[in-house]
Amino acid sequence: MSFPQTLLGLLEPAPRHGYDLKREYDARFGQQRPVKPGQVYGTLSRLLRDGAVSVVGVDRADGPDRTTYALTADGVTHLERWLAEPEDATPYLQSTVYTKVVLALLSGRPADRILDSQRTAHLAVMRELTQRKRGAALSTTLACDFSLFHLEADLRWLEHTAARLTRLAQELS
Amino acid sequence: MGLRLALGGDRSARVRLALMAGGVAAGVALLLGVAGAAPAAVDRLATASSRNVTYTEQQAALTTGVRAETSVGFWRGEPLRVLNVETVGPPVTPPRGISSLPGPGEVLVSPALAAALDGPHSAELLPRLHGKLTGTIGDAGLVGPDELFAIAGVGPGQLEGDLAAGFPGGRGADLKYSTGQTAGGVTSVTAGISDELRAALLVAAVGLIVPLMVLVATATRLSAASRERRAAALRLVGATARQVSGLGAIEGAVVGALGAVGGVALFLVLRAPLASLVPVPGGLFAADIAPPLWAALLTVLGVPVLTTLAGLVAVRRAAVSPLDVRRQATPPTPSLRRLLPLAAGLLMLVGALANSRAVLSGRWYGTALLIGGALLCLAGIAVAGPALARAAGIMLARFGPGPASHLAGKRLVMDPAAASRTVTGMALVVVVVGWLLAFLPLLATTTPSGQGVLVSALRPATVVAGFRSTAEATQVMSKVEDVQGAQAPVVVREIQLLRDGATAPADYAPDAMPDPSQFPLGAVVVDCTQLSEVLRQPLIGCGDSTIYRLASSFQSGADPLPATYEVLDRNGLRSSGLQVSLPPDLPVLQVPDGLVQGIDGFQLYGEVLFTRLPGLPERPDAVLVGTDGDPATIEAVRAALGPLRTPFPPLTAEEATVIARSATDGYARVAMIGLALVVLVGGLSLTVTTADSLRERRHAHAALAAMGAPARVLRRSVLMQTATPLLITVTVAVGVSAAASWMYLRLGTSDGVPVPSLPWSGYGLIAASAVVASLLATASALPCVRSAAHPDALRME
Amino acid sequence: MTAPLLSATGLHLSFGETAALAGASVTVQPGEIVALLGPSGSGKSTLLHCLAGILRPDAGQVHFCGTRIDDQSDEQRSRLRASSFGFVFQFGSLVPELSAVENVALPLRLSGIKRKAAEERAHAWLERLDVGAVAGKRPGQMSGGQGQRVAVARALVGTPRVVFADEPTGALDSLNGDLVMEELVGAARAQGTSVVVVTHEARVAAYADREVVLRDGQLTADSVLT
Repeated sequence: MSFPQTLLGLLEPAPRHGYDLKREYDARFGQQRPVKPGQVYGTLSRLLRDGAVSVVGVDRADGPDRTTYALTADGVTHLERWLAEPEDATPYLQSTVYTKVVLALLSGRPADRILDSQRTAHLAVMRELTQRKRGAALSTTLACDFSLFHLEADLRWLEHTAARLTRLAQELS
Repeated sequence: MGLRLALGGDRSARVRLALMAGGVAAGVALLLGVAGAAPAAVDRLATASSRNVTYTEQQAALTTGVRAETSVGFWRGEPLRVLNVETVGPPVTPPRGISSLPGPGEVLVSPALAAALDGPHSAELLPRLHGKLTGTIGDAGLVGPDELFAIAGVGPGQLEGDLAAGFPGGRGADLKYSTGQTAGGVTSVTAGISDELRAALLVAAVGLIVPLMVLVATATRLSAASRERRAAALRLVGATARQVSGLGAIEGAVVGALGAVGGVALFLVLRAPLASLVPVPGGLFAADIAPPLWAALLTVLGVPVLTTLAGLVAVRRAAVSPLDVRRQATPPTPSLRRLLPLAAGLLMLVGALANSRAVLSGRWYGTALLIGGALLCLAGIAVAGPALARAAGIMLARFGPGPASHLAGKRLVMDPAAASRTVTGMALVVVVVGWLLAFLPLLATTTPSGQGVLVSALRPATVVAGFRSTAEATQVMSKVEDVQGAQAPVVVREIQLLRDGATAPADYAPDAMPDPSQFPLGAVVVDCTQLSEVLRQPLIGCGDSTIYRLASSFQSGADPLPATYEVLDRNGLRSSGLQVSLPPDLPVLQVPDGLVQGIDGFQLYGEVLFTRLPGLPERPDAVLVGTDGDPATIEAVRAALGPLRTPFPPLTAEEATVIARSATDGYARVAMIGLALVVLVGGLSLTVTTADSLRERRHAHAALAAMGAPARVLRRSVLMQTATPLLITVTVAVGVSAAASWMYLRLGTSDGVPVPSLPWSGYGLIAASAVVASLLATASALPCVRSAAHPDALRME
Repeated sequence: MTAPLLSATGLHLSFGETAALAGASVTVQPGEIVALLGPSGSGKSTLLHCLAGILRPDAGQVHFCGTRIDDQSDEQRSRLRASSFGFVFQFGSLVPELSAVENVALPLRLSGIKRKAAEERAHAWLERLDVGAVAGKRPGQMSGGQGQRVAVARALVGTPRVVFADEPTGALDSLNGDLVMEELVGAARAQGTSVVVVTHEARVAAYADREVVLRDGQLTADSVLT
C-alpha cells in the first residue's frame, strides 16, 4: 500500500509529530479504516533507520512521546521517485494512485503526469493481455478478460480523475 | 405546445417550414389564377356580346329603335373594331361602358384608340373614323385595356338591317350557350361558347388543378423521414398516438395557413403584371381575373384542410408503430394492385366506345363511363406511380451500367413512393395537355388550309375591300390611286345576266318561283390581266378575249346557251338597260380556288367573266389593291378607303386569317401559359424536394463520399433516381393520353368520316418539355450533393 | 525506423470558432495498428478525417507513401480513398437499400470491377468474417454486430493500405465489440494493412500496437515515445 511513502509525502510540507501524521492520514486517506498508531510509529522508525526522515525535536511533556520528525533530502528523493513511477498494473490500485495524486496536488507537483504515465503502463499491460488472448484456449481468454475488464475500470477512473483535477486541487487547498 | 414545437426548431427546420409554406402559396396562387380564368373568359364574351343588339319577337312592328353594325378591321397588326349605330326615335339602352349612344357624326373611342389617335400615325386612323371625338368608352365596355374600339353614330340611310330594341344593359352572359333570356318582352341572344370549347376548358381546368394539388401535397411532405423519426421519438418517450397525430396535424395546419395567406397575397400581387403579359388580342384587365367567391373560399379554406390531413398522414406510421420507424423498417412494397385503377379507367373508356350510342345520346351511364373513365385514368396514373417506380428501379439495378445506376435502382426499389410522388404531377400535366392537343383541331373553326384559301391565291399584302353602297366606292377610288407604294386598284364589278324573256328576280311572285333554269346567271367584270398582277400565279387562259367562261362555274357541264341577256346589277335590279350576247364556245379561264370560295370576304362569283363591259357604270363592288408590304402603305390605302362602314372592311388576306383564328388562338395561348406555369412550378417543387431528400440521406452520402465514391457517381445516382421513374411514368402518360384521346375522337366523329389523327408530335413535345424541365430542376439541386456529404453527417445516425 | 506510411505534421483545423486540431502530429508505419485515444471533443475524429484525406487542414501537412495529400483536389483525394483506404464508422454507414454483399462489393464496383467478380470477392470476405449468413439481407434486417462486421468486410475487400475505423465498437455491446475488433485486427495483420482506430475505450485501444492520446486537439502522449 505504499504507506511509508504516504507518510513521507505528508511530512514534506513541515516537520510534525507522529500523532499529527496519523491524524492527517486518517483524515485524507483512511476513510474506511483508520491506521493503527503502532503502524505509524513502526513505519516512522523504519524510515528513520533508512535515513528518509530525521528527528528534529523531542517534547517530553506529560503523556506520550512527542518526537518531531522531518523529511531529509534522501527522503525527498525517495518520495519523488515513488511519485514519478507508475504502479504495477494490478487491480485495485486505485487507492495508491489517488494518494499520489493528492500528494502531488498538495505539493504543487503536476498531477496529470502521474495519471498519464499510469495510463500508459496500464495500456501496455492490456495490450499484452489482448495479445495473449489470440488463439488461446477459452479458459485463458476468460482469465485475460477478467484482468482486462478490471484494468479498464481502473483506467476509466483515471480518466475521470484527470478530468477533475482542477476541482480536486481547489478542494484540497 | 404543439404550436411551439411546430414553429420552433433550429434554422434548418424554419427554412423547411418556409419552403413548404412557399410551395403551398405558389399552388394556392395558381389555383386562384385558374379559378379566375373562367370568369375572365366569360367577361370577355359578355363584353363582346353586349355589343350585339337585342331583337324582340315583335320585330316587324318596331318603328323606333337602333340599327347596329360592327365592322372589324385592322390597323398595323391590331384588330380595330367599330360599332356603327343609328338611333331611330327616342334613345335606347346603350351597350356597356357608355352612358348614351353617340348621335350622327359623333364617335366614342376606347382609351387605347384615343392614345393611338394622339400618336404619330393618327393620320392613318382619323379618316377611318368618320366623325368628331366626343368621349371615351369605359373599361366595362372593353375586353381589355389595349382594345381598339369605337362606337360611331351614323346618320339615317347609311346602315342596312333591321331595327332592334336596344343593347343588353347589364352583365348577362354566362358560359351556357343560351338563347332565351326573356325579360320584359326582350329576348337577348347571348353568345355563348360551343359545347366542345366548354368541355375543353373543363378539361384544362382539371388538368391544371390536379397537378397543383399534387404539388401542394408534395410541398407538405418535405423532410418526411426526419419528421417521422421525431414523431416516433416523441411517441417512445411517452406521447400518446393522439398527441403525436395532433402534432402532425398542427404542423400541416400551420403550413397550410401560411401558404393560403401567402398564396392570396402572391395572387393579388402578381395578377396585374401577369395580366399584362397574356397574349390575347386587346389585352386582359387584371381585375377580370377574379375567382368566384365560392372558388376562392374553397381554395383558401380547403388547402389548409388538405395540408392538415397530409400532416396527419405523414406521422401516422410513427403514431401507430414508432419502433418500425426507429428501425428504419422498409416501407411496404407497392403491390401490382396499384395498376388496377388505371386499367379500370381504360376499360371504362373502352366501354364507352363500345356503347357509343349511349354516350352520344346523352344517357347518364354513357356520360358516366366517359367522364368517369377519364378521371379514373388520371387518378390511376397517380396511384400506379409507386409500382411503376419500383419496376423502373428493379430494371435499373439489374441492367444499369456502373455503381451509380445500381445505387439509384436499389433506392427506387426500397422507397418507390417518394420517387413517384415527385414525378406524378408532371405525368398528369402530360396526360391533360395530350388531351387538349388532340381536341384543339376539333374546336378550331374549320379554316381550310392549303389551296382553297384566299391567302394562297393573292400576293401577300394585297388589300381586299368589298363595298355595299356604290356611292361611297366611287368617291374614294382616286384617293387610293394616289397612295404611294400602292398599285393601281383592280376593280371588280358584279352583275347578273337575265336571259331574254325570263322574269327578273325583282318581279318574282312570292308563291310562284320560276324554274331554276330561268334564274339569272351571275357574272363578274374585271380585267383578267390586271387581276393576274395581284395573284401569286398568273391566270391560266387569260388572253385577248373579252368574255370567258369561268372554270369554277356552278353550272357544270353545259355552256350557258348562247343568247342575248339583259344586264342587271348585282342585286338583280334593272339599272343600266344594257344588253349583251354570249357567243358559243367561250374560252375557259382557270381561277385559283381561293378566289371563289367566298372565304375571308372576297369572292369571284359567277359563270362568266367580262374583261370589260362598255356602258356599265363605273361603280366598283370590290377592289383589290396590291401594295409593297410596308405597313404605312397598307394603312394609307385603308385610310384612303375611308370610314369603315361595311362588315367586310379593307383587309389583307393574312389579316383575315388572323381574325378568323383569333378566338381559338387566344384560348389555346392562355391554356398553354397556364400549363407552362404549372410545369414551372412542378419543376421548382422537384428542385426543392431533391435538395431536401439529399439532406435527409446525408449520412449514407457522407459514408459513400468518405469511402471514395466520387461526387459525380453520387450526382448521377440522384439524377437517375428522378429520371428513370420520370421517363417511365411520362411514357405511360403519353400512352394513356393517346389511348383516351383516340377513343374520344372515335366517339366524336360520325361513321364514314376519317378520325382526325393523333398529334404525336405534340405528345412528343410536351413529354420532352416535362422531362427536360424535371431533369433541369433535379440537376439544379445537385450541387447540394457536395455539401450534404460533409463528414459531420457521419457523427449522427 | 522505416519510412512512415502515413504521417501528419502540425495539423490545425477549426470549425468556425472552435479549434478542433491545434498542432497535432502523428505517424503510422506500414502494417502498424495505432489507436487514437481521447475524450470526446479532443479532435480524434477530425484527426482521422484529415489523415484519410476526407478533410483538408487549415495548416500542416499530411503525407501518404511520401506524397503530400492534403493539398490535392477533391477528385484526387476521392480516388485515393477509393483505391488505398478502407473505412469503418460507428454507425456502420452501410447503404440501407443495398444488401450486405452489395454493400461489401461497392468499393470494388467504384473502382470499375464488374458486378459478378466484385460480389464473388464480397461473398468470400463475408464468409471469412463469419457473416455469410446475412449476405442477402439489408442493413435494417441484421443486428448491430453483424452490421459492423459487414462494414469491416467492406473496408477490407479492396485490399487497402490503411483502414480507418472511427469508434467501430461504439454502438455495440462488449462481446460484439471484441468480435469486431478481433476480425478487423486479425484480417488487417494477415494482409499487412495498417489500421488507425479512434476510440475512447481502453479495451479497444488495447488491440493496437500503440496508442496516441489526444486532448484539446493536440497529442498529449504517444506511447512510442515513452
